[in-house]
Amino acid sequence: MPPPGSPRPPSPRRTPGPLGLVPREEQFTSRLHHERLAARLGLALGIAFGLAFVTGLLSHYLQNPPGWFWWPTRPVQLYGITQAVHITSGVASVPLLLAKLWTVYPRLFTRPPVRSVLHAVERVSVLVLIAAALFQLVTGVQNMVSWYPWGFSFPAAHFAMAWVAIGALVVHVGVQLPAIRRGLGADVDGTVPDGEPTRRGVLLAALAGAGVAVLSVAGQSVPGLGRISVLSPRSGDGPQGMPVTKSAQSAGVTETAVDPAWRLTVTGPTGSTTLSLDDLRAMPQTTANLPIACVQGWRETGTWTGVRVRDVLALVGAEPGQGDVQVESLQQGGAYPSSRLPARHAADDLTLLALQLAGEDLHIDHGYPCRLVAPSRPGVTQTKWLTSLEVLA
Amino acid sequence: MRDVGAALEDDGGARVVSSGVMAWQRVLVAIGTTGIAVGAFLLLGNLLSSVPRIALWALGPVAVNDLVLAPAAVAGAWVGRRVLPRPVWAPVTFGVVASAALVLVSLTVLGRPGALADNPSLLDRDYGTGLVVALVVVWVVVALLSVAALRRRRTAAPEAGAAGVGNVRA
Repeated sequence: MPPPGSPRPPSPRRTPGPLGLVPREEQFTSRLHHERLAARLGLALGIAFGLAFVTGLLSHYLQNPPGWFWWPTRPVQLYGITQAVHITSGVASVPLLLAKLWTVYPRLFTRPPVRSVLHAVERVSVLVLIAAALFQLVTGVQNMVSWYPWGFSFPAAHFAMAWVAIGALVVHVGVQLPAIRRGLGADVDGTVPDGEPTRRGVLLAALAGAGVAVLSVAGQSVPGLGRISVLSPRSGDGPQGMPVTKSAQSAGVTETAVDPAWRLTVTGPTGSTTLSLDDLRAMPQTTANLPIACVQGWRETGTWTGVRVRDVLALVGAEPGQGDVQVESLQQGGAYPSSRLPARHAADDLTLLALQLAGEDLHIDHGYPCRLVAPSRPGVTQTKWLTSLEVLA
Repeated sequence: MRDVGAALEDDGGARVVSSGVMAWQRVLVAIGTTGIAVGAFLLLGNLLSSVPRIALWALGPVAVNDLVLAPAAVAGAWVGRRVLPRPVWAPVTFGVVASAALVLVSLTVLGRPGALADNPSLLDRDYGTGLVVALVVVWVVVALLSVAALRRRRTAAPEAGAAGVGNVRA
């Protein structure tokens, strides 16, 4: 792109390339293909990808906590909010990235294609950035609807490519820093010649397009937007007013979960005990309003009734906060048949072995006879169809 | 590493970049390269057999953009500048960007490719109608903005007419 204000120099060579159909960079004469517009669209994308990376990292560590990881139990909606930010910033990036790629599209046809080794490395790094960014958006949007046509593990691939995308983004910002400073340091349009389009118009169109994209899906995680989010993968409805991600049938528990011989095994410092459903019902009951916040992006708050986890752990001699708790499900196979409940969450007043939702026994798709519900945790760790709890030393 | 930014500028490095900016460039390139290395380590360590498929789903969308979406946008802009009056360009651009985003996002819900027979709470809306309604709303907004822009031009410069419409470029 030419520096602001200076006319584009005439092309040194006008001979057609080997492929007459391939355009040349200098043939894109619109003033919209300019660093001032690219820098602003890039800033919006940088914010969106930065938010998605940080919230995605949080979600990853909540599901696979390293030793140093710490996460609060309040506010109870915290994880639901960070995951809603993750999903909506990704969806907002779809139109922003399309607009950005269009703005810099002439650069694809720069001649000569490679000027130096450094130039080649930079061009490859831009390809890596665009490919990784598009991969994250395409697979992320597909994950919202459980559509996995690729034959690889979504969480592992999305996590690995997140590092590639954010790394390539930071490299790109580094390489382009002088152009970014020039671009952001000047008015986006300057003087617009008669009959020419404004860059401001394209910038506002892209930002408004991002707003429309967000509104079309955000209803699944933002209360009150449900009706207008016409492309939301879930309306928020489901058995007992709560959507389902993993059904009892797909978990293979339709018989074991309703077996009268079902027992919950609890293991702690003083040994093990088994509890029947009636034993759990006979213990002091607590009711709490807690959300299920799915990594796929939906969030719905329910009224859960059941026994405090810390009361159950006290039966086997565990002090509140003594250790993390390994939680196992009846689920056969699948990615999340168990979870590790951090000691802080296990000690919390609101962390329940829920027996009821909305005043009724749990629907089997919500984890009958008994499921874990804890504040501010990913839905995949709110283990359903429980079979055992064990306090880890 | 020599002056990365200047060496990669469009004009071949003729611009002067201050040493402070160059220091920041080096730091950012180093941090970014570390991030890419972490990703490559995760890909090769945990997903080696999946790398070809991941590459397909990363490079495939690049090809779709570079060979279909971007050329279509360039052609659309070329035509739009010749057939539409200047005040409606920005509203129409919004309409195109918003419509493209809505259609792309709807690809995952329209045919219900991820639907699960055992889970009616997933993909439980009428997405065809929803998409049509959303597109209608977007283009009604485009029409209202366009009418407002045309009126503003008429009151601001009644004699300006179609000034500049002949001066069209891609």
